[in-house]
Amino acid sequence: MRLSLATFLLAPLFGAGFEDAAAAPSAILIAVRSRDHMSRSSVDKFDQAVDGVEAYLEKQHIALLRDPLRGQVRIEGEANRETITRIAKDAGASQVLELVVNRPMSSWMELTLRCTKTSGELLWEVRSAASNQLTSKDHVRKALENLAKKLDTKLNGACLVTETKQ
Amino acid sequence: MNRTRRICLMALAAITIALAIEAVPSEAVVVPEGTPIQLKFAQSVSSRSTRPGQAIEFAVAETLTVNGAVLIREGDRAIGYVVMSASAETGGKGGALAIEVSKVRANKTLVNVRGERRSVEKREVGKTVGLTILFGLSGYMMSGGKQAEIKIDTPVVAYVAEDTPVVPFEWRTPPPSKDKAAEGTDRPNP
Repeated sequence: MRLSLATFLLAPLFGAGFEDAAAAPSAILIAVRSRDHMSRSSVDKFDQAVDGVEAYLEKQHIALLRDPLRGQVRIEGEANRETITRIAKDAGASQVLELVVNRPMSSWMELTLRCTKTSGELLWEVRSAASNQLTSKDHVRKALENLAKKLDTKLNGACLVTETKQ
Repeated sequence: MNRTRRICLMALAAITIALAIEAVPSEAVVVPEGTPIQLKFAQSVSSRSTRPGQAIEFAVAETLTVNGAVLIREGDRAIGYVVMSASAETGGKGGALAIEVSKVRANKTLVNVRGERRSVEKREVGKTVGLTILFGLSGYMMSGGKQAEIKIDTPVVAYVAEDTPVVPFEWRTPPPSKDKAAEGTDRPNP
């Protein structure tokens, strides 16, 4: 109660700072490795895919929250909605950028990036696959390139708010 | 005029900061060393795909109350790490998995815990024998199968590694007066 009173009273003093706070990051990236990927592919490919998505988000200056316990969240194994929500709320996020790295029978790699509220409500979802090739060569890069093209259209929308330049 | 206004505003800021600092509760309660904390796996784990150092998510399964103070709530997070992992081999050797619970998050304080889970599965002449070795953990039996697998919600008990002061989320009973608190803390049953 007193904290909110203090915030209210201090707001006019540091008006500019509070405007920046309003544009503070509200989403967290949580990467999940699917069961199929664990049984049909290697952990290195999972790491490469997540590294690639993180590099894209950083290049686009997407403001993301960090997990206070782990920093970056990479879950290798099944995790239910409850776990994802718990991690997001712990980081103070209101939105979740959930990356699922999969290896279905039909493609070398499938990347699904979905933006949800912490309540689980889906805001958008994009899917990318490296499927139209005979060998697995460069399949991570190709899946990432396809994903980046689709994400470009989502920039400055939910979960992909760019940092305000100082 | 501007200078006077600025001084007034600074004085106001100092007062409000003082009020804000006062609002932060300073009465931390100590979680004694050895206190058991009921946890559960918040993700599945398999010896097929884990690697040493990999982080494992846990969740608190039961609220921990010490002397009427709620220090750790059901649903709070805990973190552990894979200490050892070996995938099952085609020759018949079963998968093995050792996980160490490391920290429990209690109202922005990280409580160090200990408790090691080690599960080993052996395949012997034509039949599968499940063998579980538990260190400081309880209530778990391995299911049959070649790989060591742990499912979501599997219960685990971790133990507080050292006396740790935690600011309570709330008091279920009124907090003890300072005189009584100085007499000592009740240790919860192990």
